Amino acid sequence: MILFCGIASEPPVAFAIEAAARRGLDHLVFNQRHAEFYDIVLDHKSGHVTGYLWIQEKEWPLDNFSGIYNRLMEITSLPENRQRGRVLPDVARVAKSAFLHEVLSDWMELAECRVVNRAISTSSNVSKPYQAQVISQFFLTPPTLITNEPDEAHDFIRTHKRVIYKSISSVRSIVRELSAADEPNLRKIRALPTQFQAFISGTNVRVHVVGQKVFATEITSPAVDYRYATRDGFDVEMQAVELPPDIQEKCVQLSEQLQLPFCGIDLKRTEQEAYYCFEVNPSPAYSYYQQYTGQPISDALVDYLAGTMELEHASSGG
Amino acid sequence: MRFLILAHAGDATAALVTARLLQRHHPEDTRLVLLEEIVSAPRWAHTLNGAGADTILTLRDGTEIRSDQIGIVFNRLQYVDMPHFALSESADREYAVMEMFALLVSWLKALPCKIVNRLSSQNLAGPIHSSLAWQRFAGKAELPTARIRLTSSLRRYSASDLIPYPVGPSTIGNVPAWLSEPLGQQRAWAFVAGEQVLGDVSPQLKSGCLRLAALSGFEILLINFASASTNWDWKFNGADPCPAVTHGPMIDAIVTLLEAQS
Repeated sequence: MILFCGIASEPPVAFAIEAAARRGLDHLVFNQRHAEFYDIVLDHKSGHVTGYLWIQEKEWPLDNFSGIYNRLMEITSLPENRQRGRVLPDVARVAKSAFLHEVLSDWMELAECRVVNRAISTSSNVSKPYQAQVISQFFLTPPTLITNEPDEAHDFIRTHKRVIYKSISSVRSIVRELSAADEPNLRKIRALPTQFQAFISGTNVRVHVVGQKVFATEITSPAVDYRYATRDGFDVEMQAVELPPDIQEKCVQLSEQLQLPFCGIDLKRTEQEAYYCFEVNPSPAYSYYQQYTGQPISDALVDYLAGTMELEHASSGG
Repeated sequence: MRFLILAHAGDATAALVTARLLQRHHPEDTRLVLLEEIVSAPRWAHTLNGAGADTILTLRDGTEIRSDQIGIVFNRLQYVDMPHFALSESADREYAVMEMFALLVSWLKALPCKIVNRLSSQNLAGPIHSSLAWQRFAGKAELPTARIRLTSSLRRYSASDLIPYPVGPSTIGNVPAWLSEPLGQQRAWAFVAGEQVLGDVSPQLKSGCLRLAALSGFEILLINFASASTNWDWKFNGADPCPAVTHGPMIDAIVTLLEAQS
């Protein structure tokens, strides 16, 4: 049985629930919006943890789950836990919701079934250069400088000509190309080290890895960061593609190294057919790509979580 | 430098370890660097070029810290604070903290030398384990553990043989709670530093403490025990991978570990 955790109407969760229902796979939804009606109990004895979820007026043994899809949102972002006009949220209800989520999250770290993804693994994305050091075992990564010294930044720009800047962490993660007009502002980096990267020209390829399956989507857009293309007035075109076998293999190996059995890998293919990797998203909003290309990512996800996915080697879903 | 100690201001453990290392080695071999010095450093140059990473960090006093010149890091940093953003809007302050955290994590990961305790991208002081995870590690390390229950509803999942500790306010008795089997008043501890285990507990428990340190991934670990309520047996009662220790033998054990691994 699969456990889906998150907001049931959020597209990545909704797509997965729909796929499980369509494929006749047993599943249970922990819908955060209904958390006040749920309960959990965990028991620890001599190194063993057992427990139950109470959902839909029924007890569900935690040991019965074959896989968990974890898309839990911060509980403070849930409408029922926020102030509405002059009405404050019920303190006891928020406290119960917080503890329920905390205990559920604790269990997901320890659960012996498949979990996409565990918090301890998703943290690699908190530091892009940290993650890049892992990525560089498998893919080319762009030359990168993080500095608070304007002269160092100027030298880097002179060397690489076209340079982008972006956050070091996962916060405010928008990629921008540095223009000549930006250079006088480089003195501002003295307050906080800033990440600069050599611009790599080529075609963006978003890869979703699910266990051993690889789904690649080629993105065509004139925007530096296609994720924000529409906002910046650019078009985006997407199509499913099949990657060379060695690149598929590397994608799977990278997901295994990061202990992220479900992830979104951002690649760029240069004119010379070299593949650069920029980052690995540990909680990919795959539904955006699936809607556009028709790739059966949610089917692969629920098969993986149900334990029905064959351990075949990197086969493209494109 | 052979020994780089990273710590928050006022960290007595870091200060004592530094003092002991200074007594035993050339002064230039040991440097204690505080978080405040790191976040206000006038020069950070952290480069990644695919083949590897390199960092030059220049502190306000002119000290230059180069990645390839460090023998070992004793890391006591647990969080990032950015005092020079104290007056900024909270979103900008939080952004600055996250950015500096991300940089520190990458810098430490790229160091070719050993870091004690090991680094995690979750937390500067190593991976974060919940209380439940520690209990499970302890059980798997064959340390005696107490029976524990966590529930979002004491009304639905009470247990007559366990003592409830409510978490948060009650709504018609439906209070979340932590429940534990009763423990006695006696306390004991064991301190692991590498292969050394200090503390007034049995050799059998000390062996379990070494297994717990290995399972949890920490070389330095303070392990607490509480007496059982019905006899004098000890039960695991939590662990701290970044303990504030000042006891001479504990400081010596840390120094011995750092010397052996640098």
